[in-house]
Amino acid sequence: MTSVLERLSFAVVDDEPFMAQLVSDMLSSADVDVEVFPLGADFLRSPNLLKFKTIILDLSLPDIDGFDLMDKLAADTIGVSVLLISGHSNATINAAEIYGRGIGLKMSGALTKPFTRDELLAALVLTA
Amino acid sequence: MSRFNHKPAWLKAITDTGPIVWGIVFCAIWALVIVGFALHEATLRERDKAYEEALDVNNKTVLSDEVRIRTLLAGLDKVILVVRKDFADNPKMTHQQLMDRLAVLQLDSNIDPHIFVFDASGNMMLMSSRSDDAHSLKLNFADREYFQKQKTDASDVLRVDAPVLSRVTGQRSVPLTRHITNTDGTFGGIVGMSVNPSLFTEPFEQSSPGLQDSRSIIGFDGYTRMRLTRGKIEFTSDVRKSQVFNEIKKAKSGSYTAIAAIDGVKRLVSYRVIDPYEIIVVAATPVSAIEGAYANEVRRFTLVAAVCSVLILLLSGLLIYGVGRQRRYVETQQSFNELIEMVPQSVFRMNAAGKIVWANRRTVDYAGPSEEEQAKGFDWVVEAVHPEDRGRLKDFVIDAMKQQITKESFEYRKRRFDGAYLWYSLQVTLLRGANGVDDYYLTTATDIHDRKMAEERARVAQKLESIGQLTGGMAHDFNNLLAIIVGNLDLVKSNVKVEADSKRLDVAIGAAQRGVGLVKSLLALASKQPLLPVTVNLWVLIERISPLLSHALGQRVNFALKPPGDNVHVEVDEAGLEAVLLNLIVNAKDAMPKGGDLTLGLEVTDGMARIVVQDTGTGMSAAVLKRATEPFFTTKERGRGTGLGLSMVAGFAKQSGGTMKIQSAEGLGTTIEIALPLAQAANPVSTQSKSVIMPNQKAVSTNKLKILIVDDEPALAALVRDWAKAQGHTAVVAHSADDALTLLAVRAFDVLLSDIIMPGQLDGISLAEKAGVMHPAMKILLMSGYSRETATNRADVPWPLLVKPFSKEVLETALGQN
Repeated sequence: MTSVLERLSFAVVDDEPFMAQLVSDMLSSADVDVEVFPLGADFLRSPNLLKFKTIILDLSLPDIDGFDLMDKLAADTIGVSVLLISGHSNATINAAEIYGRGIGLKMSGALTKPFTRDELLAALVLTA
Repeated sequence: MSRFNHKPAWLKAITDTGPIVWGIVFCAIWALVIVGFALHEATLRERDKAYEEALDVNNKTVLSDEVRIRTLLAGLDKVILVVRKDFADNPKMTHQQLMDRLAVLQLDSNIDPHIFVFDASGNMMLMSSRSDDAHSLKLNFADREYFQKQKTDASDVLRVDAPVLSRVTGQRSVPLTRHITNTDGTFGGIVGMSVNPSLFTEPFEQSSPGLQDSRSIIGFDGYTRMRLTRGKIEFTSDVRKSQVFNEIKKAKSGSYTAIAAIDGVKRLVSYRVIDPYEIIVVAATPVSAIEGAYANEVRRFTLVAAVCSVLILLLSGLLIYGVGRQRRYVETQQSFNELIEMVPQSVFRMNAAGKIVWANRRTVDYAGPSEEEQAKGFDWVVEAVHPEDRGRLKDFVIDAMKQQITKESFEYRKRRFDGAYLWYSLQVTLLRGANGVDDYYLTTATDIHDRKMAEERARVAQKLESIGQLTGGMAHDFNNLLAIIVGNLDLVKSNVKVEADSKRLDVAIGAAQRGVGLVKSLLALASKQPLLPVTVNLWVLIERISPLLSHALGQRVNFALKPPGDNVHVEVDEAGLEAVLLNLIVNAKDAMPKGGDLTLGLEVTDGMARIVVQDTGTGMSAAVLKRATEPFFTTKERGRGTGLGLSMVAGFAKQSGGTMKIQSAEGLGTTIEIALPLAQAANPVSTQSKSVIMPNQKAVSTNKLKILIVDDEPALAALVRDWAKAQGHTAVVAHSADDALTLLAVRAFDVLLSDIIMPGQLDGISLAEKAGVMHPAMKILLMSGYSRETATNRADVPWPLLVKPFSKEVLETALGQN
């Protein structure tokens, strides 16, 4: 078992509580820390912002567009990597992925909802 | 016929009509020859007839003259013989005795003969006309020619000599004499009679039958006893040179033609010798009169022949002209008919009573009347009109006829051969007949179905667009819900230990997954993306939309997929292909109202990917099959089909470089095969349609720009991005034009800064052009390591060019310029 300090930390940003809970549950099997943010602003204000290895980001948030959120991450040169999840079609999520990479973010990929736990873990290079 | 042909009309008529005209000319020549021959024959016949008639008249004249003269002379000779006998018996015969004897003989009082007796010396011995003593007159007639002839002529016949002037009465008379023979045989004088020549001439004067102009009594001595020529009487003319004397040597009677010695006139002559009196009766008709008579006939015939000839020539000319006109009329008519048959409209002709009397081929082909209907005339044209429109149509036509005007733009529905009703626009035009009686109406029906359908489609399209917008929004929410369902079920499943429960969960997950597929297909349909062929794994695409297809087919149809053995990649517009497949599936479903089997297969033959959609439906008749891909041709009831389905499928296949084939027969189902060329290389594979959902666009401050940097060189692109960031801008890098387009589709930028020469199908120029269309307000800058001309190959590129390498300041200036 890894120490608390060494435990990886993930942020889930999704306004849909069931969805956020589901992702959180999926990740819990991999023995990692998960923090859920229902709004983009919540996440950006988080004191643990620099601690997160990866942010699992829903493209459609009520307060801030996924693209804009990525703009902010890039502008502040926060070294978190981004895994996009979306209920939109692949075209949009693909574009968002290209965009994120284009503004210099580390991209962990993009998942179209619904996805399985295995798909999620594979994208995050985690094992259950 | 060339319109540069300047031959006159009549010459055209002849040269254009060939054999018929030569036939007419041949007949005309023959007719003229026959007329000429008839004229010739008639002329000869008339001439012969004229001569025969003249001859007949002459012959009859001389015959009747002979009979009359013989009768007259026989009677007179009897008197002379009685007196001679009396004188022989009584040489001292007195005047009184002579008169007594004459009284006994009862001579015709008209004759009034003067009997005389001369002795052998020619002294008058007795004379009936003078009662006084004849001797006392001491008249001697020995010098008279007739006396001399009797003295020398031994034959005892009555002599009829040339008339002489009487020495007793002073009158002209004809001497009839016999001589007296003494008992010893010597000449004893003559007994004679002087008769008025009128006894002979009277009948002559009464008539001159026919064309005859001359009659005469000629003595053998060569002198006429009398001669009547054209009403003028002559006596004792010298005709010794007459041809008649030659003729009588040959026959006692006959005819000949000769020039008369006496007056030089040529005549047809008949003669008879009256024996034994040594006289000849002659009747003559001038040849000129005969010729004149038949010449009149000939002139009449010639006139008739000339008139006939002129008529024949006129008739031939008219025929030739008529044939030419007819031919040109027929040609005009033919080209007119061809034109009428060729026009895409349905054209038919109505008489003044509103009855259709003729219709062009298109009308027939369109309505496809049965043979039975066609046999009954053109009622089917009216019957093909939609029952709801028939009344209005009738009013329209009646109105046009009443007002005698051209009326148009009457829209009505007309039944096609397969029973479908299509929209038409009617025009009725009055065409005036030549004589004001044969007026008729030319009625043209123009297909306006496309327009009508387009109007309808515009309405449908508007509805679809709003549905599409709704779908796009809803699909996102549905996906979220489904994701929660699927995810949670998935998690629950890993903890479930009961086999049966696990299976139930699988069923639930499967159902939710199908829902996901449906939503994706809906998104594809709602897509408004322009056609963008991308390399597609065809079977993956088919499997992806198969839930939607299955859903569209309904439960009555068994849906089976026949996958290919290997991956099949084609370059095709995904959304288009999805729509095509959905179209075919909907068609198949409509063809199987009672259910059936549908197989969707994919195979590769001859370098083509072949999508095969096979149903077990009603199939198509040959007539429908022939028109299946015509736009707006539909067999579906109104409102259900646009008639665009198969035409769109065929068009899509063609646009994608492939083909569409239909195999169908009535009752045997339909198989449609879409062949698409295989992709050259199975490169970046997309299996999703690009649904467009525009993110919120936020106002951007002028000094803080959003910049899209496109360059295939990562290091350079990153450098430019860092410069832009340092200047306070937001910069996004795309490494290809395709990525740039993907971003531009979902995101607005203030500036596009693109390299010109990049790998891939799109270069910077094309990208700039497309981007300019998508975002007209966006500023576009180009950059290149080459000069403008080399990089673009054209001088008219409207965007500013940054020539590499450029400094941070150059970029700043370029971005700062508006």
